[in-house]
Amino acid sequence: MIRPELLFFVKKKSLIHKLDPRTKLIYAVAMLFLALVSSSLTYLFQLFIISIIPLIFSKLYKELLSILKFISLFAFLVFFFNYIFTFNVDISIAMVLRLLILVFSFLIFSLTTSPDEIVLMLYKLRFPFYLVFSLSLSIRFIPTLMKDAMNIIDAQRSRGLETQKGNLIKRIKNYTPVFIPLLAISINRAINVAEAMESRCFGAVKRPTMFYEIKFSKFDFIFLFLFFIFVFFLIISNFNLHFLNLKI
Amino acid sequence: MKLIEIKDLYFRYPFEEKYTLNNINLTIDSGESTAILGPNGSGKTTLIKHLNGILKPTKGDVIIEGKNTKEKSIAELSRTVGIVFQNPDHQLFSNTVFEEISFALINFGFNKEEILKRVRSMLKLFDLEKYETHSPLLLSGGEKKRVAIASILCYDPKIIVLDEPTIGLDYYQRKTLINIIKNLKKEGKTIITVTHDFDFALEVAERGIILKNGEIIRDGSLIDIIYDSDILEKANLIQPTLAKIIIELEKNGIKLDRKVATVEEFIQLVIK
Amino acid sequence: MKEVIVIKNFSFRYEGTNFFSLKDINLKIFEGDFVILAGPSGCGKTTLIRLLNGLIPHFYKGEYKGEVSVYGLIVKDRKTYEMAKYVGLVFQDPEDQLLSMTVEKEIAFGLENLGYKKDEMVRIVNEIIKLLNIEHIRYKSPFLLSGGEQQKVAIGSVLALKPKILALDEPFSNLDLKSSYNLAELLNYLNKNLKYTIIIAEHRLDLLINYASRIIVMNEGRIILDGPPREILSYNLEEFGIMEPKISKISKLLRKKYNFDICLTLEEFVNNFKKIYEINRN
Repeated sequence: MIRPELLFFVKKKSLIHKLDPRTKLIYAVAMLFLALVSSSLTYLFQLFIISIIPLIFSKLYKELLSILKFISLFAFLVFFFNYIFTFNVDISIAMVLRLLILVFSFLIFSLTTSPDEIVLMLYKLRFPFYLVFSLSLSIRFIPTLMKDAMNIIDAQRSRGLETQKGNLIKRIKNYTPVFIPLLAISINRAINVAEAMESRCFGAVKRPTMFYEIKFSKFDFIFLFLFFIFVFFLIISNFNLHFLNLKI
Repeated sequence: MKLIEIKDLYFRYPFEEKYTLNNINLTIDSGESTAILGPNGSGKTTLIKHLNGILKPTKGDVIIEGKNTKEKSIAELSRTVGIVFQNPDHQLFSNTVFEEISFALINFGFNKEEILKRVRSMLKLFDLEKYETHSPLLLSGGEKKRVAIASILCYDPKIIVLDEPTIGLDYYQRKTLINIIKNLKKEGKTIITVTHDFDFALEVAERGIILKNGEIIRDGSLIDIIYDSDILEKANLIQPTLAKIIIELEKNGIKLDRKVATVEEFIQLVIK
Repeated sequence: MKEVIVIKNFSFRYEGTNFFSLKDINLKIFEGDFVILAGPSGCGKTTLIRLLNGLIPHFYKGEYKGEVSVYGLIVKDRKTYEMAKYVGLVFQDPEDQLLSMTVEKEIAFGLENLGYKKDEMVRIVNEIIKLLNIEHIRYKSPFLLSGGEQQKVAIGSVLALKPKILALDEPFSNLDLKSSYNLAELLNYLNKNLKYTIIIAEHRLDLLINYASRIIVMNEGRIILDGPPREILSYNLEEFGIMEPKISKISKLLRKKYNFDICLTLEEFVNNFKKIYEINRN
């Protein structure tokens, strides 16, 4: 079975998973801002250390390790090109640190927030219900769609379809026997889904209530409080240096 | 003659820890009609996908007509093994029923005359002549199924595999399908039916293979299997009513021959 | 007995087709009935199910002649979500009716749409989970369940709306036999113990024959037979494209030659057979 959730959300019981998605979003956006305001190396290095702390609490060591392999290559390239253009080791290192800080803080959001929570967050942020619901339905039907696609490919290959034959245009054409049934099945599913929704009171009230709610808990307050303390000391301690001296 | 030989087959899907197929050993001779039975999720469909190379063994070998599937392409193997999948919606895509049936023939490089001849004979065999120029996507469920079967039978594979052919069929459609399979048997085709429907299996197959959690737990005469209450219980299968009746009558001191497979045979036996 | 569904002189033609899918239907269904709607594909049984909560004519449009009322409400004049409190519909493909990331949220789906408060939702969801005995899959994704479990969850998600009638459209067609029998037993429990009126479109009678109180046979948009199982089974149903249960089929064939009753259960059959066997041996 295909598990597309592996690409994003990883289910685990950790302090970070427990946090309200809004907390994690605030954190990620704040980190983005903080990483951009200064290119002082000491400052960025300290910020980098801060960005590692939540990762440790997320318990996603295995996943992080495999992502790190990919990121380190990327980091090297960033360093390399910056150096070529600037011949300045400091700036190049700063860029790498920024990259890592950004990646780490958004990973916290994407790896520990389920699609369901993202949907709830958007709903709580007053996005229109129809939009939010469509999004959640699309996420729900990704595995179904993939299963359909696999079955179709199997069936057509059993009738002698060879997708890898010919030039590029021919190859795209080769997929017609896959796309058409997939489209037909999806339309059919959409009708069935709509019928099932209709039968279960969809659209009865303008803003439905939600069975799962996202709420700020004490963990969120503690997390944000600690984060602000760290940031406060970070800024105080760096204020005398080349802070706000942007030399990108 | 050995047509299919499966040796120590193990199979595991990527990302999964458990093996979906466990130590499968199986030979099927030319002209046999076999039913593979088991509840949903027992590995039936995974097993048949090995026969034309859609799936290749994680360990072990699948040998079709003496050739290992690891060394052949799906297209080559499909010439010998025609698989009709469960849901016709997974394959119908052409503008007309005629084109749909000719799809495999074109892929396999048949010449124009031959294609015309074969599609015509299929349309006739499956009573689809009136739909020749219709879109296959707009047919009813039973008709779609017939087109799907025709689109495999047209290129005359030696082995025909049917995956859950009775799902979604009503009584008429089911009866038509039984007749089609019986005719194929007369032509000497090797037939493998994957199903959880014993009544259907009894009409079309002599040999039964029972799968549970990816293992073969019984392989033998289908008529014997339906009386083996223990193995059916173990495989989570429902004993066919006919077998239940005969076993219950035996308990009441009325002994009947256990070789009956269909209602008609039962009636004849009783009247005698 | 109380009439819960009344259909009077009813015909329906789907928009874009040139034939009537239902013709001159007159039908009354009573509280507590367990009705099998039998017939080959295309006979109109799915269309009949869609009438009950107003999917026809609100979702599927077309030419609508005659009157359908449920618990005294004229279905045509009501919104589908109002009717959902009277009639719960369960469909053929379980996967297409499960829309949520977890089972418990799935069950709450209709309640969310009606704007129920959180604690009220939790109470009802717990009740349904207990009723269906599905605590162990509560937090699972409906997509990853077996077909039988999926259909159970689909039933749970309509039961949460506390309907009085449960209408199912070929709910067994994607299930294996064992799961089908389990589901049939559940329906029987809901009917006998919790007094739900059940209407189920199905062309295989053997699954439900011991539970049903009434069989309606449809063909080409018309009701051609309607009565208690024993009476209906005395007809040759295969002529109408319906698969007869083995036991009644055999007893009917034996009836041609011997004085055999039409039997529904194995026990009945064996007793009858014994009697005939003794007589003929002597």
